[in-house]
Amino acid sequence: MAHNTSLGQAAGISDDQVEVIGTDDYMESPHLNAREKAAVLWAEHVTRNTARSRDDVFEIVRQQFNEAEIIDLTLICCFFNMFNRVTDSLKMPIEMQSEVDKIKASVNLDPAKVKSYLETVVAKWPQRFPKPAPD
Amino acid sequence: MSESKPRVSMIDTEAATGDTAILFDAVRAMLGRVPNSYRILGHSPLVAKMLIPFNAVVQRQGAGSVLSTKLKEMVVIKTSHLNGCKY
Repeated sequence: MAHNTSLGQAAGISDDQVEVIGTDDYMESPHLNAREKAAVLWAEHVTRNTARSRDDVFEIVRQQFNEAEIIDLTLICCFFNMFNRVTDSLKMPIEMQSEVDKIKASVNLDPAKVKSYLETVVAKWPQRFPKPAPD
Repeated sequence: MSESKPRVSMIDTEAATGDTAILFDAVRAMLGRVPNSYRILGHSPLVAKMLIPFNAVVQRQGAGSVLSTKLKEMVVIKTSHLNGCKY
């Protein structure tokens, strides 16, 4: 959570909001608006894998978000379920707070930098690819 | 900093070679730093290089996502909290 609380604060999430998101009472909180509540509710049910059977939950989400937004919402939640599993399983160490705080500079992603990243990847495309190890 | 030792070694960014060095240079240019997690994923640089831009775009605003970084971080905080993840 360290990185995400840091990036979240830089993005404008208050301490009250961080605290209530971590409880079971967030749907009643005055610190979250209707869209924020629906997003957190979706995150909870996707993470617990109860989303697929809860049409009532999806209805709340659908009232707040269009279809493109629902895709982005579901992908960010699922990406972090994957990434949480990776960091936990490999026991990835949390960085020094000063290093974690550097993430604050990246609330807005510059599309030119993503383009430049992809151009580097293409320009440095490997001549040879590794062969899979024997099974 | 956590006391626990990573199960897979963290690559020294200055000592990286080959595809891993290329990966770290590209990550540094995009994010301004190489996070610990990528120093570990860098052992498999040709796979990691495909994951990293997806991570950047899906988590943040500005490069295609239709949601704000703020709203998505709320999702990430809930997800990581439920998973009991400290990273």
